[in-house]
Amino acid sequence: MLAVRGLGKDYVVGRGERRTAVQEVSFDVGRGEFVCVVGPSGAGKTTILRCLTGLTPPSRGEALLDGVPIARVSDHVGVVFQDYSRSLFPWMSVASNISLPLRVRRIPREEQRRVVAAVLEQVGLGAEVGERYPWQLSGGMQQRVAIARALAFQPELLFMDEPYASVDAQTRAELEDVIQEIHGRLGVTVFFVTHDIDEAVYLADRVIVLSRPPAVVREIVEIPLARPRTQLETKSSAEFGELRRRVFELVAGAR
Amino acid sequence: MAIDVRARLTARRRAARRRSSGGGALRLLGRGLNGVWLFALLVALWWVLSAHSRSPYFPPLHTILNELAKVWFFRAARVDLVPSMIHLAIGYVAAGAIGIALGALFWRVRVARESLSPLVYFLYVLPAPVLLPAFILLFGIGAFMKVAIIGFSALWPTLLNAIDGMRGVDPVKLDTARTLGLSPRRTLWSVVLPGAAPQIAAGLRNSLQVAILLMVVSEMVASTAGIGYFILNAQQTFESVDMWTGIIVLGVVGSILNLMFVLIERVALRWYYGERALQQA
Repeated sequence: MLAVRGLGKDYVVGRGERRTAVQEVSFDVGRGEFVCVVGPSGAGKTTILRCLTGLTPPSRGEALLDGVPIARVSDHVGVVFQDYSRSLFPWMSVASNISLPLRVRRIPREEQRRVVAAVLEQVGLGAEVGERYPWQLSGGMQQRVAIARALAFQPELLFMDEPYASVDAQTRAELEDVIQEIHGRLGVTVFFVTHDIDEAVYLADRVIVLSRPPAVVREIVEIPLARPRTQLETKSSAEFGELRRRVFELVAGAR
Repeated sequence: MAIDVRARLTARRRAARRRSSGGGALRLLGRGLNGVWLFALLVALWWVLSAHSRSPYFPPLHTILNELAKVWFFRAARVDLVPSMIHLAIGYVAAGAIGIALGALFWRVRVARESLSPLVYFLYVLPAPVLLPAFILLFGIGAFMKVAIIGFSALWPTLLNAIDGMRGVDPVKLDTARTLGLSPRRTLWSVVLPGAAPQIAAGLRNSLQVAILLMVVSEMVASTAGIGYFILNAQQTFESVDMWTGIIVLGVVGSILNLMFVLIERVALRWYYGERALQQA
């Protein structure tokens, strides 16, 4: 579904000086796959995600979505950003936030209502939440709304940029299971950037480990843990511990 | 069982919230009273201290109010107040609309922003009354000149705040708009304008003050009607009671306009004040 070939990105940092954020990364993401990207901080994880969504053009190499080079934000792609309080629109109700991409696509009003209720249910929120404003909800609920909005126009590929970095541990575990369930139920492909190794191993089919910046792919680790996974069982299994150790060593030793 | 207790607790809490919202209305009233008592005291003082005044320049307040009722209800209101208000309304609404529209253009077209910004700042710092002679030369002393000078001077605070507010819209929100497939026009309507609305409102409020100021000044300099003319004419013909009535009427009208503005702003920007109140709580 997604093919990344020799992708790199340089930033201009004042007076013609350039800093390389991403050296050269190549990997594939298959349809329906759950791929997590981890790496040392500043490794250019977010930069890679921005290039793949079409928000930022790469400096080198190419990224193909179903064989087509990504030049702008595709209609088949949803994005969830880290900071829900900045990505949700506080002047719109939750329902309006979610139906905005549908209104843009001229979906009939009746259908909009149905979709809003359906995606709210998928992220574990009741339909009555639709009437409230984002800032009236807790952080975890707001991020659920952001996920619901990204799902509203049924994207085939969901990009998530450290989506759970600004919620507490308890909420984080709940949200991990929300996205796991959505992935299992809808079969949507997920590209998930995180700095949390446990989270990556728990969620992913494969974990892409990046080197220190400027980033290259250090290794891609297969995660053969059975699904559905549960916070208690999976995370305390010996297999999980072994995989976690492996990824941790790769990240810590990343050069 | 546990659920039952919890449900009863929530019901009780909800009832408490209802009660406290009633208390909130009382508190609001209290705060309103708190805001007017000094004002009322000063008016009372004016009333008492001026009651036996013989000075032609400081007539007793009750004389002024009697005269105000006689002069302003109907005759002067029709001849002097209504035309002034119409000039103000047209000039101010035009300035607000053009200011926001130009702000949006500046947001969309970078060349416009970069080439026109110095000019905008230059005209903003220029005290508008100094342009009055030029406007009189260009447009005469009719209604059009007044609307023009009011609109011209009121434009800048709204425009500058619109430019600033739109430029300050969170880049994450703009990225989000792109990922949701919003066209640039749709982004402007659904993201940039609402995002900049609190600052645009601040600009519009500032513009209202400037518009009222220029309404009065333009009538003082070049007019035979209007509330500004009325006040200056009364002073020059030693009708000091009339002069005071004009000043009071102008103060009352200005206060009413301001109050209306604040009320509309509170409703239109409910999300903004709601979010801010929660953040501070």
